[in-house]
Amino acid sequence: MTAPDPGPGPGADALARARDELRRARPDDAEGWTAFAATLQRRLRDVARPGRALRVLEDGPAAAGAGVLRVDERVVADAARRAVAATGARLVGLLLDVTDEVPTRVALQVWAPYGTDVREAADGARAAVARVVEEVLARRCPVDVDVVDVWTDEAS
Amino acid sequence: MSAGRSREADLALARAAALGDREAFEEVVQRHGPVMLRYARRVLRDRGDAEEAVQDALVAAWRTMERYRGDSALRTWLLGLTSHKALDVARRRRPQPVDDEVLAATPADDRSDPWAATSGSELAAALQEALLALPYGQRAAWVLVELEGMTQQEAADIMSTTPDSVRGNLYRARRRLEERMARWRP
Repeated sequence: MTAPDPGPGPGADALARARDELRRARPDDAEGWTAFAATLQRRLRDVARPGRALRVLEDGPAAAGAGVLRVDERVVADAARRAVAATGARLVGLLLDVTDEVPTRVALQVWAPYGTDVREAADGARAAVARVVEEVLARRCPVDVDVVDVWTDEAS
Repeated sequence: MSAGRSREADLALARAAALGDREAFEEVVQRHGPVMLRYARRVLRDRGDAEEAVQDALVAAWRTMERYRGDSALRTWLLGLTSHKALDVARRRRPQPVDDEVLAATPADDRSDPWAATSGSELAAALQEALLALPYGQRAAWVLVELEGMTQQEAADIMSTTPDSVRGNLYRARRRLEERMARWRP
């Protein structure tokens, strides 16, 4: 049996007042945050992440962050979007991974209709884009195609 | 921006960052970094340790953004990373076997208290000091729920525990803090 709660202690009121003051207090300051953010950016630059250029194929808050693409990448992106659409899914993001100016990997984000088997959608998109890549890029170099993510709608 | 639209925007940013969009991740940092830093400063004694924990958490977020599935708010996920990194830092400072009572036995050191100068109140500074004397689990639960306004479920998600555990930690934290703050009653 659990002992009954004895109720608030003698410092309960002081605790509540102090808590309210701490809620209002803000230890952050603009200069401190600026220095912190600068240090963080230096650390992040050292973290290897794939991708030199990003093509976001749907409108959204991140669309403005799309990088400048060369003609080859635009060709890949447009052809990949059409190829994935033919499978019934939708290509919502594509990243061309470039190492030493040589394309080595294509990463995809795919949206599939509700009820679609996620693995089948991923396999279908991968195969469709792999064929595109063979036509456009792989004549010159081998390229891996990865489906990073498959998104579906929730059940209504 | 409404909570719903904010969550949609966060999800879009997370998706772009998962693909490697650095500008999208910078936006995530600007939106949620200050809250992460504020939380770390409240649960760790040293300001440098707090900044280190948040730096580590954001680097981990950049590396593993594809693991964020949108099941919880992005801020909840990021605070979860922060909580784990903060606990790692706290454990590194105490080389003894991890024991909540050992973590609680930390002497006061006003020089490293990030709140003493900014709160402008001895009462608030006394509470911050009392918080730092709590075992880490109690401290984190109380800060998340009482100061950051999280629900017990959100706090449980952040601390990788259950709502019942959060409730128990809150209860024990509240009793200890009331005892410590009793000398401040009018």
